[in-house]
Amino acid sequence: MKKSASYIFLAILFVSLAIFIATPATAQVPQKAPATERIIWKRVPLEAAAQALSTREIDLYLFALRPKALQELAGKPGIKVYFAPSGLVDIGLNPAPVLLVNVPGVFNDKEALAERLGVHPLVIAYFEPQEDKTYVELCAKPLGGLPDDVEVVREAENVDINPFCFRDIRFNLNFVVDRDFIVKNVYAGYAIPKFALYGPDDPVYVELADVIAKYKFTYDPDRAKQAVQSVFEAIGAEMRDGTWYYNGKPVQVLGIIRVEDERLDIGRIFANELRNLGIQVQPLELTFGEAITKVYATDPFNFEWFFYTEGWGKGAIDKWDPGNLAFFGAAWLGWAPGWGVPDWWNYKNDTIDFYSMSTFLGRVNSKEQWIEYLRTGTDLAIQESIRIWIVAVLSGYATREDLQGVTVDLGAGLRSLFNFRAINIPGKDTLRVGHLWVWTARTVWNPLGGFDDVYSVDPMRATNDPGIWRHPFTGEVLPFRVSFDVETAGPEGKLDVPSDAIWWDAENDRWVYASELGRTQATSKVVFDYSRIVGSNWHHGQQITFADIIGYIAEILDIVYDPEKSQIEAAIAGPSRQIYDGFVAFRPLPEENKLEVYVNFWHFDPGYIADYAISGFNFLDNPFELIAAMDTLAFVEKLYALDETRARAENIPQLSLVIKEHVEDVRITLNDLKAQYDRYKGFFTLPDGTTLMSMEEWNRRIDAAISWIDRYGLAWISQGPFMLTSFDKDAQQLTLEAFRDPTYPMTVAESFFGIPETVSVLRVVSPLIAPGEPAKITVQVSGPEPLSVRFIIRDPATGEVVASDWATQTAPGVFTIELSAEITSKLAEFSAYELIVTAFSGQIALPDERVVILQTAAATRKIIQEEISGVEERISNVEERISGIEERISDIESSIENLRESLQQQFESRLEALREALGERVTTSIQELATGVSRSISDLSDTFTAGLRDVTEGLREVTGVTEELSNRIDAVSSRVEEVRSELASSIDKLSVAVEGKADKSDVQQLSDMITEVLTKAEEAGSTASTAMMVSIANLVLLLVAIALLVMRRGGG
Amino acid sequence: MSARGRIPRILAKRAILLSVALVVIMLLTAVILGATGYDEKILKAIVVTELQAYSQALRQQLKGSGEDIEKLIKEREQFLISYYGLDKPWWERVIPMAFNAMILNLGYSLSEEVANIAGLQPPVRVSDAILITLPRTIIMLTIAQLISIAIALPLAPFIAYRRGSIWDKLSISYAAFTNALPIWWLAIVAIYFVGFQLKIAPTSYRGVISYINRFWEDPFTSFINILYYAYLPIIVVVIGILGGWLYSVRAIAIRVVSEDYVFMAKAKGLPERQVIRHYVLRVIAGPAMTLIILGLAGSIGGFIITESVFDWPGIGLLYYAAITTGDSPTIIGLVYITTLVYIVARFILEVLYVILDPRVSL
Repeated sequence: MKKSASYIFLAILFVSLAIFIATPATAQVPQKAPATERIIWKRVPLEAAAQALSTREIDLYLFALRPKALQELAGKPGIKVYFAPSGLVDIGLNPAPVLLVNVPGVFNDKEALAERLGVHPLVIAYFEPQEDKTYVELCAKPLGGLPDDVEVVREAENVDINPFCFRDIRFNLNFVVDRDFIVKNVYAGYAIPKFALYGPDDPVYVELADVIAKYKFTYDPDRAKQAVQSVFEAIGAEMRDGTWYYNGKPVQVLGIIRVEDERLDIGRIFANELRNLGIQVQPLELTFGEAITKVYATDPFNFEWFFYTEGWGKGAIDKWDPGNLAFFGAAWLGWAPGWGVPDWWNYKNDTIDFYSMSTFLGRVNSKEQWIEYLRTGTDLAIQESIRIWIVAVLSGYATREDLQGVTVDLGAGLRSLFNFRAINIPGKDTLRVGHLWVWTARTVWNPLGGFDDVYSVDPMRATNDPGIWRHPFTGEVLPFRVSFDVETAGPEGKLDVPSDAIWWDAENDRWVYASELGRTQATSKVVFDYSRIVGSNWHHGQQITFADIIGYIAEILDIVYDPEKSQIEAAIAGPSRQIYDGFVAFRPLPEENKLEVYVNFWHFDPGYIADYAISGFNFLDNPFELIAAMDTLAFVEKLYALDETRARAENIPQLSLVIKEHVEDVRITLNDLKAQYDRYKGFFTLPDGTTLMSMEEWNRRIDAAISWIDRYGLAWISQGPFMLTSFDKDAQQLTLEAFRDPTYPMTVAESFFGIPETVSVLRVVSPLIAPGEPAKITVQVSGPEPLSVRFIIRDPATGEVVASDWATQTAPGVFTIELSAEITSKLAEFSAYELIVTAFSGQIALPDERVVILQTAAATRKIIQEEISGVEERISNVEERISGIEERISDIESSIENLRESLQQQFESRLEALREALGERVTTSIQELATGVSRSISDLSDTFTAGLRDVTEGLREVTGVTEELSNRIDAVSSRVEEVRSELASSIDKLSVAVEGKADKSDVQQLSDMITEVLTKAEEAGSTASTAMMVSIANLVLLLVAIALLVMRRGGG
Repeated sequence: MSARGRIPRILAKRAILLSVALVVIMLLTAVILGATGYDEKILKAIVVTELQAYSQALRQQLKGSGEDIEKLIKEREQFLISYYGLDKPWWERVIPMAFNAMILNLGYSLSEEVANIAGLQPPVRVSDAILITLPRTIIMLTIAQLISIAIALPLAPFIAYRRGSIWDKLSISYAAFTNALPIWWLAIVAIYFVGFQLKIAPTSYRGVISYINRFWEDPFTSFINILYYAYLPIIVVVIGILGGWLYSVRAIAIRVVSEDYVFMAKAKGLPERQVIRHYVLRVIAGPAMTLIILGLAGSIGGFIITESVFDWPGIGLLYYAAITTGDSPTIIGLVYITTLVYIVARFILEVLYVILDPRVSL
């Protein structure tokens, strides 16, 4: 009894302790995802979105809104709008030539070829020496005709000249686009000016900023006009009444302008600018269907279009994205005019193709080489300008104001996978999400060949956790539900593949040791840790096992490598084979929940190797029994296609796990599969005979899947935070219910990144720069660390980048740009330069860019210095002259003394002679006379000496005045320096004051005012110098006057 | 031959003429589509854009290892060219389509837009697309037409009878006003006030499809729900077209009410209702029937913009989708069906003319 009591006491104590310990611990348990209990997902047309949000029909609209709708929503109470770059707009140019010819003989020199053809070299767009002839493409038909022996390959009808064939003209058309105006007036500020195929909206811009800066095309139509004039005059065109004529006909182009959105305004603006250049424009304002018919479905050589207002959607954010160059700058992908259609004229540029291929296909040896190739390719593509880039469009995603847990993905906007896990409205368990569609003909819920549109992908991502994902702000590869380690010997080396690694034998439907197939070495190894997936449950309550992982991979490899399946689903097998040919082996480690993947792939970023190594099975979409049912329906019963190509070709439906009729067939198939364990056993049995799923488990899981289908009428069973519980394609509505299973590991916090903290250049404190002298510029930035600041000094007149480098961080958020004397010596005196300061954060892909005017003040200082030197030189000259005069006076004194002595001697000798001859009396008289003369000479000498003394005194006074003058000049100089410093300080203060408040024109105005003040200061300095000069001249005149006076006195 | 005995012959002659007209229309449609290169241009553009999208997806998917990409793109191009029939001259592609349509073999639509409207995966049987969308249009537009007719037919003769009265002036003004007023604009206003503000009608009408498609699973619930979804669109369309009906029927009736025999009936002191019923309505029945039957037949062509505003994917939007995507099978199918309905309506009219007015062609 006592013992029992003590047990009870201990038990109570233990429970109390447990409660005591557990209570605070429970409070600290992170909230499991998702943050809301239910999402009702429905179609809301774009035009009704604003109204639906205003009236709380929906809490969030997932489709990006156009600027007009955003303006409607701006300031509406209860509505919040988030922005993310979502699209690009450019003007595509048709660079086709008008005449293709073969010239006899092999020409390697353009000039010689032009002479042979009788045209200006500019007319030759392209030439290619061949065996015994040279193939030439001409931008204009020769005015004097072709030589008789030249063979015409092809000639454009009714077009004698294509202005956009000339590279110089294409490039200079960048100057007729006022991007700032378009951003402000056409996009109401919801856009970023885009000067080239990469811009601040691309993470890789950090490596390209200085290349792009060279081409920061300002609105300068005169420059474009000059370029057009230069080309047209050279080739023999003439200007009449503001229009260029070639071969007697006006130069005319046909522009295709899309009417559905802002491109209508952009196209019209561009057309007007072309007219101002003297090129006639026939605009065709068309809708999508009509426009693409003309642009993409015709040979550019037929000239059914000359320019087209293109628009592109932006995909997921990618830290190392070579796509823009490959797609928009190169020809090899078929995105340049000609579109890769074999019999059409196609734009080509082998050099750009090389650089874009190398970066796109990873044919590089190092990160440095990759960056260098991307830079060079981008530079060349800008020079080629087959597309004039206008803006990156910022799309707005609107939500109710009280919606919390929002993550703004810089690529996907609010469609980010993270949002579905973390968004919620406090006190509300159901969220209503609007999307443009819930179902379209392309919406197919099928992991093996479907999910081709956002309307299926978006809700699917709420129901399914990927292994790895991209960081919403940086585009870096991020472990999500699977962590990874990468080991690589690449790009050149190889790693040994362990002997127990396996590979799928598609012909015999079994896993075998990879070494048996000679798969013994690989470039890289990625170890994926599935601890947070294996052991948790599928939505239907069955546990996820390693059989699901291995089975899924086997199914994918089977579709790719099985001779029959790969033929049936060729559209899946073909492209996938390209990926899996790079795979060497898998090494499952079920005890550790790890999977080693060996691949022949290298990238300088290890995350990209992991991304490659998980291709195809990153989303572990469905339990294997469901995968097996899909396999049966597609390949055994052949009732459904997995991919739409097969569906179209065979007129059979593409399997979708949410369409009623398809789901019913899946259910029947699952039921049949209970007796087909052996058919799929090989998919999850390792070469050593270990079977990862027993028959009992197989049957149990199938029963669970059938129960699920019976309950919800849907066959989409997955493992993410939400379960798909209803789908009505006709009503365009689906429901997602939170998956509150205790084994589900993901938390809300793991999916919440919030709004990217903006990187901002707060202040740029730049003194007036003295060329040739070192200078420091202070930059203050804000944003999440690590921060870095890049600066570019650019001559706006020539576009030349004078200097480009990284600033040094001196304190948190403070950077110093050190300009060495060598750099500043490249700057012209008293000029204005653009200082482009770009701040980057390691945590956010979007940088902030600030352009400030960099003033050089060297001219002021130098001019004053020169003036002072001039005055000093003149003073020195005066001193030299005074010194000369003193010497001459001294000489005169000495001569006078000599003369006096000589006269004295002569008097005395003559006197002696006279005394001897005339007697004493006469001698005495003469003696008296001599004494008088001698006294007179002595007096004269004294007078002269006194006069000279006066002159010397005067000279001393002049020297004193000169010294004083010199001191005054120093004082003036010092004062000018003070004024300069004060002005610099005022500029800094003004810069600080206008930060964020003034626009470019204000800064320009201020700069002009400062320039004016400095000019006036200079004028004042110049006047002072003149006054000093006049004073010195007066002093010299005074000196001369004194000298003359003395001489006169001496003469008297 | 008696007059009665000549009727079948006359009707047979009319039927043959109308059938020839149908064949000519179908051939003309096919020639317009094919010879002008309309569908070919659009289909080629679709091939190019599909190839671009495929190429982009392929490059992104294949990352750094794609050696046979060109081959894959080429294969895809060949497939698309063959799929859209671009490997055949237009007459081999389009003319057989027209003839097949006439034996109700409408073929498959390849357009995703058409499939979207029908709510099916492509390729979609054109007959399925038409049969699925037709009831939606009938529920909204044909019913609205019927309601308008039901209001206008008895009302307009009374208005005509009181020519110059305030009712007459009001009806003319109403007709002029609604004629100038786009129905789609009225639809937007109605959705805004009745749907979003008063919340007594749906704001999204797509859901009606679900109930139409599954009507026979639970007819009563489906009917109630269809009614809920359809009442506002029907009211809007009735408001929009009623003026036209009133004006048209009034115009026919005015000619009749000024006839001597109507004055005579009035002079006899017959009650107004009786005069209208016996002396006006009976006389205008023929021309009014023409209006009614052609109006009803026309209603199955759908209202493109109004259907779009209500997000009500009927025949109008199907037409639009087919035309903008150059989907020849659907265009030909729709032209055939709507022409057939029109021709059948014309034939019915011919019969009715004969029945209602024995003077016709006898």
